[in-house]
Amino acid sequence: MSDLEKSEEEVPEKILVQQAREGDVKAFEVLMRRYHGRIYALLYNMTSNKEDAEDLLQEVFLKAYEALPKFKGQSSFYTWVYRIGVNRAINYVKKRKRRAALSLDNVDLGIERDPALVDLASGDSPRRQANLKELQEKLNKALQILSEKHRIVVVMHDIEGMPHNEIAEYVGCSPGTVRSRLFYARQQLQAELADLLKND
Amino acid sequence: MTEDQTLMKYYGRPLADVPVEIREKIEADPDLLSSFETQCQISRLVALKRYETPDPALEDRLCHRVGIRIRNQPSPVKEPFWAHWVLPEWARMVAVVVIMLGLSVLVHREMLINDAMEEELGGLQTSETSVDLPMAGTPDVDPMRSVQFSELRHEDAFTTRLPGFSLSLDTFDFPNLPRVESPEPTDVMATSTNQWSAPLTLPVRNPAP
Repeated sequence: MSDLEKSEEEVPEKILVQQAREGDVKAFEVLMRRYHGRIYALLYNMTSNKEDAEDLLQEVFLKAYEALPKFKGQSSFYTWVYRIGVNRAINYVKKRKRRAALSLDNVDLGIERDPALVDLASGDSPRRQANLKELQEKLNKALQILSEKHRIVVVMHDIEGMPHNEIAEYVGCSPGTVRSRLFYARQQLQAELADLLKND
Repeated sequence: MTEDQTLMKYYGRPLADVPVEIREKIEADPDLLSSFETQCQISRLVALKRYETPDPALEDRLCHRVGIRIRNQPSPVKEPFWAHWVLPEWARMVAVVVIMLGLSVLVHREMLINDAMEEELGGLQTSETSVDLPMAGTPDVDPMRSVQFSELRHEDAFTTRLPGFSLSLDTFDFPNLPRVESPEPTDVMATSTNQWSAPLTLPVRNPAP
């Protein structure tokens, strides 16, 4: 990492936001580099299409840049942009009439060491033969059957690992509603992922 | 929190992470246990999606494309310099209330001061009056006055500005003075050019065609 990049990493968020607000595109780029990862993951997991997710990510950051004068700094910039991402993802899924074709990212090889996969592969059922690509497709297809309200809570809780309270704040409902949506979403996923589940 | 709500809180977690008292309840009911384990398995399976990683070039592509689109856009409307000084709405409300309270306190204080002064002055006047009032048994004479005034006589009544003054002039006769006839009284209303006595007619504009 160069000294310039290092110094960019160390600049506090508030200063970068202030500079971006004054029209400094470079400062805004630093913010984008810092926070794009999790917002992209949210959009990708909601759409299961990497091109759509990338387009949405650009829209989210453009919207954030345009709305910067309205950003009061009551929350962190990341929380604010993430909220824009959540709204954009929900609206996109709601408006999309038919399911988009899957276009998936590469799977990190670290998955092979994940206890869930190890557990899955050590069973004595057809799931043993399921290679990573098939597993990835099944998971993404299964998520696509969920409504936007149920999908967002599964993505934020089971994939992103966010607590119920935080999800409730982003989505605009109570933590109890988040829990019940999670429960019913997993019930729907159960039918889609039946052959991957243990039947002890 | 009801039992169902409590259970909902732990669905999706491994049974080992659930508090003992709740785990015992779950283990006692086979259906509940099955449902609990299924939820946990699904949660773990879906979590495998974390291993999907974006294209490494995504970051540079994003910055490049968004940067171009931002530069092609008109710059965002900057807030005027005074916008930072404008208080939020709640603060403005509080400020108004504080100012109103301050004003009412000031006015009230002024009134209290005036009342106190009046009381003080009143006390002084009372004390002076008490000095000035003739004491019982003493003659009703002001020692400060050098001239003694006689009582007001009826004849002198003209000289005072009493309501019956004009009447007194007409009634009383002064034989030694030449009588001057006063001019005929004029009827102000009759000679007035006041136009409101005529029937009121106001100009009416014709409506536009």
